[in-house]
Amino acid sequence: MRIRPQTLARLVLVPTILLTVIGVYGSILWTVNISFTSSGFLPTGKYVGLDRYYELWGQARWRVAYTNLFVFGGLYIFFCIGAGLLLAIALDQGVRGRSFFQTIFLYPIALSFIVTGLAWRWILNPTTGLEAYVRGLGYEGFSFGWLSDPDMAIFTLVIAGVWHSAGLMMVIIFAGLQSIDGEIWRAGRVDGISRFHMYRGVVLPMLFPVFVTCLVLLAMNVVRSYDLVVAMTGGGPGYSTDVPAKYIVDHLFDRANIGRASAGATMLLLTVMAIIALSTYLGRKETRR
Amino acid sequence: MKDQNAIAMAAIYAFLAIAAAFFAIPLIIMLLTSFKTAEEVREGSIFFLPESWSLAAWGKAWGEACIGRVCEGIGGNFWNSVLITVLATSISLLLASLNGFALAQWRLRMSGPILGMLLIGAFIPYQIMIYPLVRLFATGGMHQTLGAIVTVHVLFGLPILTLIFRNFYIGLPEELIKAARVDGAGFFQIYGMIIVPMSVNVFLVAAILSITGVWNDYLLGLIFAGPNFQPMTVSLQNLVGTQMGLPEYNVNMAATILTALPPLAVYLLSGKYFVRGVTAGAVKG
Amino acid sequence: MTRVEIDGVERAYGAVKVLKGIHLDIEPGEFVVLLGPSGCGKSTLLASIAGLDPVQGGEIRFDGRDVARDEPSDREIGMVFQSYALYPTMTVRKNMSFALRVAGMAKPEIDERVNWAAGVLQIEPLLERKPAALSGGQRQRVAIGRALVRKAKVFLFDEPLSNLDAKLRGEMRAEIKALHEKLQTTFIYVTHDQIEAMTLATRIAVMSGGEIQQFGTPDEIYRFPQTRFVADFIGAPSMNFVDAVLRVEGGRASLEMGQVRVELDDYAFAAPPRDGQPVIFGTRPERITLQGDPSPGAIPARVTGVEPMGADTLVWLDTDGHRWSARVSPEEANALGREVHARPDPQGISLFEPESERRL
Ligand SMILES: Nc1ncnc2c1ncn2[C@@H]1O[C@H](COP(=O)(O)OP(=O)(O)OP(=O)(O)O)[C@@H](O)[C@H]1O
Ligand SMILES: [Mg+2]
Repeated sequence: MRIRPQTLARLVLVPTILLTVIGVYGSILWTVNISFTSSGFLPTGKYVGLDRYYELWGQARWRVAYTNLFVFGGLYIFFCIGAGLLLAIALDQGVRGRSFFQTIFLYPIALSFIVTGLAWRWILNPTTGLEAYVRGLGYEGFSFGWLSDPDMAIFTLVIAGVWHSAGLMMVIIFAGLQSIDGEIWRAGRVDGISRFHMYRGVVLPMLFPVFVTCLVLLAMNVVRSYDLVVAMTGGGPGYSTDVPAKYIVDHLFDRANIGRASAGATMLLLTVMAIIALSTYLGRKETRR
Repeated sequence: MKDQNAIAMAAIYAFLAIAAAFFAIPLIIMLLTSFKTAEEVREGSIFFLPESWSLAAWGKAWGEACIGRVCEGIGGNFWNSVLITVLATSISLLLASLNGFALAQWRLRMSGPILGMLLIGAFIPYQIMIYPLVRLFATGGMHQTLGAIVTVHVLFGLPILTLIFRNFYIGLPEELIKAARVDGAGFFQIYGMIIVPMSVNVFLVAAILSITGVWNDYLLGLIFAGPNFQPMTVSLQNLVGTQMGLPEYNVNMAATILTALPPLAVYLLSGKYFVRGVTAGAVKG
Repeated sequence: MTRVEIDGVERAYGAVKVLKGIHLDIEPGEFVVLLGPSGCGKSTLLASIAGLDPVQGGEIRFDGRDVARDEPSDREIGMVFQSYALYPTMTVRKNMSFALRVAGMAKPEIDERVNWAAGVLQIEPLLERKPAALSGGQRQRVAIGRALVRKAKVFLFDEPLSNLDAKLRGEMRAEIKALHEKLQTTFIYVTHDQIEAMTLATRIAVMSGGEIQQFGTPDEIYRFPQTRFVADFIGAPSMNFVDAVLRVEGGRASLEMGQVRVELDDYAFAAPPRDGQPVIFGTRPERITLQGDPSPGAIPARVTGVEPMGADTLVWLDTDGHRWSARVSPEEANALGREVHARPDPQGISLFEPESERRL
């Protein structure tokens, strides 16, 4: 007897479902479970309640890492969307060579965060990069040592991150601008409303869902930000540019403290769930209006 | 009025030019540096043109640069990355397109929940899942093998790729599949002879997304690939991070560009498909 | 030549019953048209016959063999869809040969069949083109050709002409009819176009709300509608209705509408009429003559509109609050004043029971 096509349609889904249920959801449960145990180098079954979480939050390095998530994330998202928006609006003014500019603005997104990090580390390196160049021009007092300054190093990550992702925001926002009906612009012209006020009062509010999409996309990059930090600062100087993603990986593999790493991972999971809830709420609110 | 417009346009062009410089300069500096000799790098400034264009750094990065005590460059890792990318992309595309077809056209009662389960999983950071996966592979004797690294790439690539295919297939008329069933074609015949030829463009978009994603990955390669299948991003980071003595910036930059070259080529060659690929993640399901 | 028996077929989407126990007995070589308003379940019934939509009850028999649980491909059917559903990446030849290739037929025989079907449909010059390079009518032909090559036992058509313009529709209609005469295969054809149904069908099944209202020849359906729904649905403009009361005096039946009486000497009653029985009286527009002067059996009416249609003229009437229409010759229409008397032809009367809306 031949197998019915509907049955085959169900069967082809089986590998993916198994893979996801075990690999994603099983792994999440495992990690959450381990975060309540005293596991160190190896996982153990000894439950210690919320001890690992107290331990985690009692540690300065985690607090710095978790704060950095929001410092880096907030600035990265703000500047990416801001730069993307400005570039998109500039390109929307009927400029010539639009595709040339787009190509230049967007290419960094094709590069890995490792490449991005190494490139910017080289440019921002005080002894070889920008600082040396400007001093060479005769401005001996010039100094740009953010990379080795514990208070400023986190901002170098923002610069590199924005360089990497702003082009993508530009493309997404530009597509949103293009999708706005030309009639609206004509109506605005008839009513004598300036372009600036059209953008601020009419066009940008219409693009609200696009900004939510951008926000989600960038937020996922922030939560996952591991490569960029490793390539650019290695978390340093000290642990001033540490982020949860790096903290977790370090504790899993180098420091062999699985329990604490799992507690950190669970905190990260909760953060992500809060972001998802927030963006769904924003999306809902928009559709309800 | 005319004048005002002209001034405004001039300002816009100036803004775009400055922005273009900001985006272009890192690549230019990397290129310039990679063509310099070691001496020149030490003495000159990053913005100077090389005095004599030298390919020495490129050759060294490819075949001789030392990572720790092993001096074989990152050429071998290039081929590892190619292998991992090709395998992971072909398997992901096959599974994702079959999934998308099954979810879109066969009126399965569970298709909504299944898609939801896949997509929610796609938002979770890898850090939460890597350790259990390491244990799982170790138990299966697969830790740090080609199979392990390809499997994790497929696992994490599938949700978004499945969504891309599903969104395309949901737009195809149901009657097409009905006609094919009356004609006696089974599930795989309909898939292979009708659906795949119709979705070449979607395969292209999905392939671009998958290729750049897998090639540019660092974390999964670091943990799951092991020394035998170490991808290029990992060896690049090791090369730059573990140099002994004076850093050879020209070699580092050549290695960096070598690593960036394949996705850059994909970007430049595929044009609008690339944009569709990288923004495909933005379309909500 | 295949006999198709549909025996109590049921289909529900959730709680909504779309097919409520359909019975149809289709003779070998018939051309049956399923006719009904949108959403009445025509496509669902056709898909059940094809095996594309699982049935939840009843049997579908081809020559006595129950096929209700067979895969579509095992039923030896050919099907033509409204959107044609041509495979866009394949040439016409590939489209037509697809089923045969899937079945693993030898190449020479495939070629022979495709060439034969292309000859029948006169699409030989199109064989190497892709569907995108064809006109609507040509696509339709290819879709039919795809069914033809399979030498199917039953041909199913789901509104195959509704995407074509009026002129082409007329031509294709004639071609499909000629094709049926040539092949002598059983055809089942879904449409909501009455003209198509009338001209093509050997028998029409009028459907409404998931039930068969009437199954009969076009003539029966038109002249002796079995339910008020059929009477109303068939014919444009539709039948004129008015409430009336039956009178039976001395074995002779007549109809009382206010002051007017209509004799019913020639009416074939399904059941013996009762005196005083309320009925719905119906008559078709072309069965009405209009006169200026009152006469026995003529209903007084006011003319509200005149629509010349060329060959004849439609006159819209107001008969004591009912909107009627009458189809008369242009000369007659010109001679009319505002107040007229409409006289129904005693041969063209339909009576329905008000409760059940069934024919009396
Ligand atoms: N997948 C489905 N789920 C729920 N209801 C459905 C589904 N498919 C069809 N229906 C319902 O079944 C009824 C019959 O549909 P069907 O397509 O058979 O109508 P039809 O007579 O062919 O109409 P049309 O002339 O518009 O094609 C409709 O009321 C429709 O809403
Ligand atoms: Mg229909």
